Amino acid sequence: MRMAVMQEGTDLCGRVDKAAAVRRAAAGDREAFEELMDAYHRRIFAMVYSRITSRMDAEDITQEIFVRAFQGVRSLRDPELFKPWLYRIALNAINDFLRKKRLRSIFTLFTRERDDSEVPDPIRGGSDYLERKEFWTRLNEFFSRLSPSEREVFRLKFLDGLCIREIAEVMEKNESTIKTHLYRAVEKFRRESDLSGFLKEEKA
Amino acid sequence: MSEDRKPGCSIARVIRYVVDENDLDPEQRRHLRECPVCREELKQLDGGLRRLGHMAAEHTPEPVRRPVLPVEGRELPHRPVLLWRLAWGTGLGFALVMLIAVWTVFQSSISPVSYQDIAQEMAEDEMLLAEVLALEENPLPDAYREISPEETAGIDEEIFDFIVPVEGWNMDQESRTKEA
Repeated sequence: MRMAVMQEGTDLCGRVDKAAAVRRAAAGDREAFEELMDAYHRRIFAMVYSRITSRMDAEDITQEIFVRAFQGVRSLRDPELFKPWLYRIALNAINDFLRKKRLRSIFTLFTRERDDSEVPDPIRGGSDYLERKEFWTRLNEFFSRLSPSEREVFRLKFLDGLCIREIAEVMEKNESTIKTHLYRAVEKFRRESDLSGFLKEEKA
Repeated sequence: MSEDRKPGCSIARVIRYVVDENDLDPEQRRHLRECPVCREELKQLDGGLRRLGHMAAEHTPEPVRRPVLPVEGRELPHRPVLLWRLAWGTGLGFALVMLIAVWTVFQSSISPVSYQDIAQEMAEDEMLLAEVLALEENPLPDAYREISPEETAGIDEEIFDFIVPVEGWNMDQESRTKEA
């Protein structure tokens, strides 16, 4: 993959980033890695949650992602690529989890699968839980009509907020391929009158 | 969304702008800014996608636990997972090999080719048995069968003595001649 050309202290999209902390973490500084973990923890958790919609599993996977990152940060050749590298670890961890879940579902074919996705938040109330469930169900219905590559680039771009260059690094593909997937996914999103209507209702 | 577009308008251009605005040249970008139809398309699409991102963030719960990093020098928590994976992989591989072996044996036992082989073997066994029975009855080759006792049963002994005289008979004749 091409080397990133950027200014000191910015990420692939030219935004100010924790490049100094990444360098220190890559040199073995544990506190620097803790700093990075605080900066990315919520974003990575949100990324995981949006793909599996289970709070407990998302917490476990997020834990695993940061442990893997901590173990591998010393081998990171280009500290400026920390963010896409971390997201790639996250994607792999999510895919591992989904594979295991599919395998488990074969063995529990005749038993009723436990719905452990989430329990209603006692503070925010049950209606909030139902709204959340409805939102992710509708969104996943839309995602089911996209190819796996289209789905992933769409999520990384519009849900996780990564730029094209970062997505290309995460998925280890070139930028024009990423854009092609995005064009197709956005075109399908535009044609999805159900989802557009749902988004308008939510806004109202 | 409006489908009543001007000749210079293109929804593909709007999508390209949404995906990466740097993909369009300045002239195309100027058109998007100035054309009311394209501007409305862009507003709808871009607004929808932004709204989606905001709603996804709103509908994501806050994480409760902060990740805990492994302590240096201690066994890392993912190692048992690796061992389990290795064990599972080995077990699965062994099960697959066994399944293939059993399947192969099962297939060969029920295949029509094996029935033919068995029928041929049975025919060969029968032929061999017939040969053994024939030999048991008379083990002599064909050339000797005509002079074998079984074949010459019923013919007088004197005829044989006449054709093939025994040695003792000649000696008797010689001794009588000498005495005389």
